[in-house]
Amino acid sequence: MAELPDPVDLAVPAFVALVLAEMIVARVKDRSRYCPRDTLTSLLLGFGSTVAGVLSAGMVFALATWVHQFRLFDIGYAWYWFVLAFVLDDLAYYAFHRSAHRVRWFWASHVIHHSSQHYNLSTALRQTWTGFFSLAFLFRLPLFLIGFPPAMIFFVAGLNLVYQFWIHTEVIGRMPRWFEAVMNTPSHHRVHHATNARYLDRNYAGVFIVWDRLFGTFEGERDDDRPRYGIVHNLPDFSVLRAAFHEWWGIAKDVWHAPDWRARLGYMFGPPGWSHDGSRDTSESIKTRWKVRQERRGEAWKKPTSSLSAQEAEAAPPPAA
Amino acid sequence: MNWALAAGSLVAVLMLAGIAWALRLGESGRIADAAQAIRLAEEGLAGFEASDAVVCADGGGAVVFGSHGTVALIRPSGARFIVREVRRPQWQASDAGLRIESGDPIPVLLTLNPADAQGVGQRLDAVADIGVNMDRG
Repeated sequence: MAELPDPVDLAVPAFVALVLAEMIVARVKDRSRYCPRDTLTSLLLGFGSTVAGVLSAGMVFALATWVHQFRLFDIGYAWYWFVLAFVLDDLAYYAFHRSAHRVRWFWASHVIHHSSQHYNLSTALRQTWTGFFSLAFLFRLPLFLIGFPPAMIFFVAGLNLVYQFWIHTEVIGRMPRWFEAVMNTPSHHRVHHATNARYLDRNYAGVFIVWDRLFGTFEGERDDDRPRYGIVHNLPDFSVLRAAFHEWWGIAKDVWHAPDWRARLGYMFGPPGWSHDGSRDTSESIKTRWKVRQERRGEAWKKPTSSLSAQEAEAAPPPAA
Repeated sequence: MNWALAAGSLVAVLMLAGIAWALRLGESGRIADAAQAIRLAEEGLAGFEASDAVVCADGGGAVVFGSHGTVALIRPSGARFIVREVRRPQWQASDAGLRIESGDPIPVLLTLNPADAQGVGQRLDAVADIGVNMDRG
């Protein structure tokens, strides 16, 4: 079996240096881009995630190796297999990531990454502690069944994670058009982290934004709707433990109080915000309310009467290009 | 990951957090005025339509009154804000101002004079009663 390095371990010094550089930029341009307590929480969550990953790595690797014995093809370590593995692993990441936003069980693990109201390089390191428990590794099993060696997949998955680090920043505006068309970029990923109704549940890509364009989940960043970061119900404090476990606790409470089994399953595997009596907000209900309001404001904006206030006129959407 | 890398990462975490403090990043958020409070409430709560807002003088808290008896409570959290929609919140007026329970471990505190605090509290109850009557149709 090939011995491949862990790209994330190798990248740690660069992570530290780039966070430091971004802090200095923030000091000069906009001090609110960073908040020391938020940064400490993000970094401690990143550290805890690494420890949790090490603890579960043996079991995940053993499962991958077991599945690999049923492979359809024998795939070696030639460079082109690495390239194909990288692309297919990114597709598997897209499937995982989309599920992580649409299925509460996976969201409970992934929400940690979205729980900061800041969007900077330290946010990139705010990673899950409960990925193994949520069974996120299942999404990569098809790659082992195809025949990609586990060591190769874990290597390219590490590269994927390293790529995603640099896109968590507001320092970079837009990349060249050709790059924005193919690759995930800071602009695309700002949309993904935003809670604006327009941007909810969009841009799930890891490295290649083409998956979102292909599967209809792409949304471009607009200058007239600047992203606001965090989650729909932002956390009340900077507690590391609350960030790591609050959604699991929420699931446990909901399942305990659910009136029947259908509701219990809904609270575990329905979309985040689902409730048996419809009393909570899902991304769909938020988008629907937002659209109704936009249409109402649009109608008001079109009226050639004096009923339009200056404030409404300012808020009216620009005419379509 | 080996133990040396783990220890190094932990040192780096503490060092970066310390540098963030030393650079005085993330100035404490303050609600500047009623217009900002209304914008925060409408942006943070889907479908919330504000009518007016009360912001305390030090910008440390705000109440935004909305339609249908709903109320948005806002308080700074680091350099950002926490916005919560509540109905008939528990409140307590004192010489220090108005304390309103938002459902979070941290309440919203408005530094107001006792008379204003009492007035805003009573309005919270009145708005909630309007909302109940509207719900009953």
